[in-house]
Amino acid sequence: MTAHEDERHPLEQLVEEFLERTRRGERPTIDEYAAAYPEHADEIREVFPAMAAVETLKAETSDAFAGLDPESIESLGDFRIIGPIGHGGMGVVYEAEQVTLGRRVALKVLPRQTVRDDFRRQRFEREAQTAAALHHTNIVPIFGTGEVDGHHFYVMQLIRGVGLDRILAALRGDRPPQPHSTTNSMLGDVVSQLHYDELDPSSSATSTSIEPIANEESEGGHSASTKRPAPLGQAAYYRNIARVAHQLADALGYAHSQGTLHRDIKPANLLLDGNGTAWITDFGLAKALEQADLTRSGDVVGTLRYMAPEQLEGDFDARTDIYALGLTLYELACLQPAFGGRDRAKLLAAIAEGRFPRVRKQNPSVPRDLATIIEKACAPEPRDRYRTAHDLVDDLERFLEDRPIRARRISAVEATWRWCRRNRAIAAFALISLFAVFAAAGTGWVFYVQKSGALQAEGERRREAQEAQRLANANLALSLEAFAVLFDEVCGRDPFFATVEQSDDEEFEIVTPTTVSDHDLALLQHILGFYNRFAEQNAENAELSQEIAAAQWRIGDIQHRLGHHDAAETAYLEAIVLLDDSTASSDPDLRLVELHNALGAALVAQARFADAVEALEASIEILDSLPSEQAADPSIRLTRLRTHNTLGLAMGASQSGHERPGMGRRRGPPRDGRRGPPRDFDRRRPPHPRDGGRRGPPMPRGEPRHTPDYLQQHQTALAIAEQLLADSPEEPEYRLAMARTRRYLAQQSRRIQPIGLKAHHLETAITLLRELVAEFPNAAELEYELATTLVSTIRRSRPEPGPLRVDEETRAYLDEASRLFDHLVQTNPSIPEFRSSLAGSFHAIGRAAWDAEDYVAAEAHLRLSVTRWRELAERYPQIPSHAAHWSFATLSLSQLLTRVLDRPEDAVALLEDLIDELERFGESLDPDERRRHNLLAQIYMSLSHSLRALGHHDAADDARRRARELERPR
Amino acid sequence: MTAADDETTKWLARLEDGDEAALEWFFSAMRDKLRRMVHYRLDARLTGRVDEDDVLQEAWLDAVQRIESFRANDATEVFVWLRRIVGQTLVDLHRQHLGAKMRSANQEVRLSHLAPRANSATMSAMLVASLTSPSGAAMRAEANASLIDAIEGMDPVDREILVLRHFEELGNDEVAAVLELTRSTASYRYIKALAKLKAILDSDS
Repeated sequence: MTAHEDERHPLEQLVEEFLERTRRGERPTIDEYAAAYPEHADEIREVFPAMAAVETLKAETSDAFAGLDPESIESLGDFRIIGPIGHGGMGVVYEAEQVTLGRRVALKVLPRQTVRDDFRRQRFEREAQTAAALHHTNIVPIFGTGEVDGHHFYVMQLIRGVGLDRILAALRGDRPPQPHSTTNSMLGDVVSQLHYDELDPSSSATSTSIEPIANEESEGGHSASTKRPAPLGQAAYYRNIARVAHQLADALGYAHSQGTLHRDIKPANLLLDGNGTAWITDFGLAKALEQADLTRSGDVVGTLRYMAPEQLEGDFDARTDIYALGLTLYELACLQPAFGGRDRAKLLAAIAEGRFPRVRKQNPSVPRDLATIIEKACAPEPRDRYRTAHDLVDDLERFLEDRPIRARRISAVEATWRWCRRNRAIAAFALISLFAVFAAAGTGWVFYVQKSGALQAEGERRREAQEAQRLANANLALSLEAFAVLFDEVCGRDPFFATVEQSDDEEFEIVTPTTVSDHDLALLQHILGFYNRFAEQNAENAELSQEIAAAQWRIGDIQHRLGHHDAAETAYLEAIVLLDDSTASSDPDLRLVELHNALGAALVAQARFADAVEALEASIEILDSLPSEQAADPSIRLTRLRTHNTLGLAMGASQSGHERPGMGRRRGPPRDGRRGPPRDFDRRRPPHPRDGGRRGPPMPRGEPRHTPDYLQQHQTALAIAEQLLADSPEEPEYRLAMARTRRYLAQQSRRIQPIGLKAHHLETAITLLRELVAEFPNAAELEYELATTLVSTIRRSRPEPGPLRVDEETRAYLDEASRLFDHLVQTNPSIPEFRSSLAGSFHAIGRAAWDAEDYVAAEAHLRLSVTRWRELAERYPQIPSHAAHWSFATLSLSQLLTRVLDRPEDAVALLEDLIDELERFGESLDPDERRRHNLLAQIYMSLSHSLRALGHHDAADDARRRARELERPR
Repeated sequence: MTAADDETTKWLARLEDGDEAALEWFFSAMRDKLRRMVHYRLDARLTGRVDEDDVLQEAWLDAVQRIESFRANDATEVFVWLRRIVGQTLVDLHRQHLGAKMRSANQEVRLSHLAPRANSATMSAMLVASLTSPSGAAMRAEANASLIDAIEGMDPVDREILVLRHFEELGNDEVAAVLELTRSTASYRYIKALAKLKAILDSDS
């Protein structure tokens, strides 16, 4: 063997290592490899996903179907298997001879798993009976069910037909999906009849007595088409597919009238035979074969591509079947699925938003009426679809008879509004384009409002002016509402209460600003521009003060989300002033509560905890002044609960010496001398007795406290949560609030409460959240809260670095948290919070493993954490805490390397690299110089330790000196 | 040279002396890999009739008989030799039970049997296994089906490389030895096969 023959592809060696690690139970990531081998990064991103896909395939399939080879069965009881016809939904279909009756039938044999328990078998048999009771020309009749040697099957009439999925593939000119035994020549026949014949099943004899077609493979498959008459042109094709849809819709309508839903309409479950008859198969059986646990979380069956939006949420009715049929017809008309692509997240989003290309955009030759029918059948909102399958049949008939159809084309505006309506509930993916429409329009309308005032002066045009004014106001309202929708979409993820988080190292209070995905960032900046223009141009317009206050509020929210907390503060203050002024009566205004809470969050984010406490106390004050019947309203009690929690967090932080003295305080004068808002909002109300007169300097650090007032806040919140739950024990929001409050209590109680109580809070919270997650398996927020709570079980009780005391249970919690975060990252790749939480959980796991003296796991997880944080820091440089967390993870890792693993040289390399990178970040690391320097000082100190361990005493002294310089206050 | 390598060398020498204990040592070290081979290549008609462990047991007896004639330079050669014996055992079993003719010991792995197309059954199975959301499972099932199509549509050698590396979990050197390719060819073809797979999957979507 020559040296050349021994030379392996460099990438292949990485793949092998990756696979070995995976099989050892590690969780290496593609990103990690791309980062570690930048010279191969492109190839890694090219090749690794395919490798991961095959590996996943193996993992997912090796057990589920072991032991059933569907093509090797020879006979099942009375049935002699002739050969497989194809894989249909949930099983393999065989052609078989029923020996005693001497008839040919189709057998569908189910995978063992689906019927392994009595409950499901009974259910399957019951559904099969129901399906057997359906008698319709276009529904494949079911003869019965059977079981032999653990193989469950049902017996159907044998249809010499081809699935629409294969027909579609052939029409698209794809390679035949699989050379199953339905013959290609038959496929050719069936396909060409769509193009050439006037499909008219009613004219042929009973469609069941077709000559069997030999099971021969004929490559090319279109041999039969030579016998066909000349093409009738495209129009015939569309009429033919309308006829197919007509038959299918009629069958659906019949089944629905019998109280049976299909639940899994998709091309693979629809057959077309050589006579032009369309058949629906597997009626109602999809449902019968669901997992019992699936039923609880919503009846979701069918391939994702053909699922209706409401089906994703577990809703299903007759209109859902209509939708799926509509999508099938869409595909026949356009020869493209309405929802293409394989990216799961994108597909889900597209389905949920109903975002598929208009039919005639995909294929302009589709007759307009047919396109309208299709689009009505698969409207995203069930209420916009045909009410019944019979209505669809009716319209298809009208189309076939060239009569006007009933469905009306929806206008562009209506389409946009439907779209908007849906978007309230759905993640924002492609909002930019809609935004562009409204951005142009919105600004124009605002100007128009102002000009129309001048128009009014001219007598003869008065009426026109009024009309214009009315229109303009309507447009303005429309525009504001559109923006409100967009805004809710992006900002509606309630980042508010997640803003105070403690780092693993208590020397630093890390404020985690809510991070923003790139997509949202661009969108937010556009929306911000709109509101800013709106507020400026209409500042003097007293009639619009409510709208301007709302706009300022939103500006504040956006700025907060973008991490511009001082700008957010200013905007909130403006809004507070406007609302205060306009609230003539002394009625307490709940919006002021929300605004003060938001202001408090913005202040917390600036580490100005004492100011935040004032703002939040203002909220409590307003809430206290509410009349008792209003205060008893559950939603207000929930707001109060949240306010108390945030107040507790702010108080706790302000007293543990993390205050940022004067930083950014009262910075920036009010805009252009115009009536400025009072910069100290609390000037407008009597000062709170406790902190009245407190200005400027924050509370002294370590001030002795006899009453832990921040804990009292959480205890108050706890009491409210208990009351709320006593009234409505099932309400998920209250349960979540309870869990969160308990987590805060545990986190905040580090010095005061006995350990046991802290553990009790956490365990109660974890139990609550596990129940919630089980009940709402798709709610990312709940999963996130659970994982966060699991991680918080490791919160350190001592500030000094070094190992913690963790038990096996905590490590198990951490592993679970890490899996949850990983799942969240995979299901919501665009939400950076999940990525940062995953990185944080790796850090926590690493520390826990260290404590358990599992140093291999400790190093591996700390390295993962470093890699993840580094990625985040590079990707979202506007978020200072990423770099800080990256530093902390690196510090932990270098301590491990130096103190335990005796590899100080590795630690030195890591730390020097980190210092270089952080200097590159400069001010963007953290605008607060003191904190930035403290962080760097810590890194230099660590570097000094590692250098000393290496015996480099001079360099160690230099590093120590540098650290001291940085720490020196200036 | 690591301790593990030392150990291997020691047992290789003993194997050369015809020591059954040495054969046992290698066999049990490679048992998982051999078992995976049986698992993926045993005709499903025989599952239930033939236990996977019985196949290995028969192969073991066979190997003991042939130990005299066997010489190996390294562990990979031992593996290839044992794998071939297991393969022959499989061929014999198929003949005996089914009268079927197997083309070779490397009986083609038919992935399509492992995972039927996307449907509620696969979804359910996967749900239980992976706790993903139902829609996620549907999507996975569909992705799996198209992946299987893609793999089955590949050149036989490429497909075999993928199966050996992923399903039998062999390393590059073992794949090269099993398929009688150079290490370099096996390595480059594997990466090419992955790239092709990626291209097929991309063009599908």
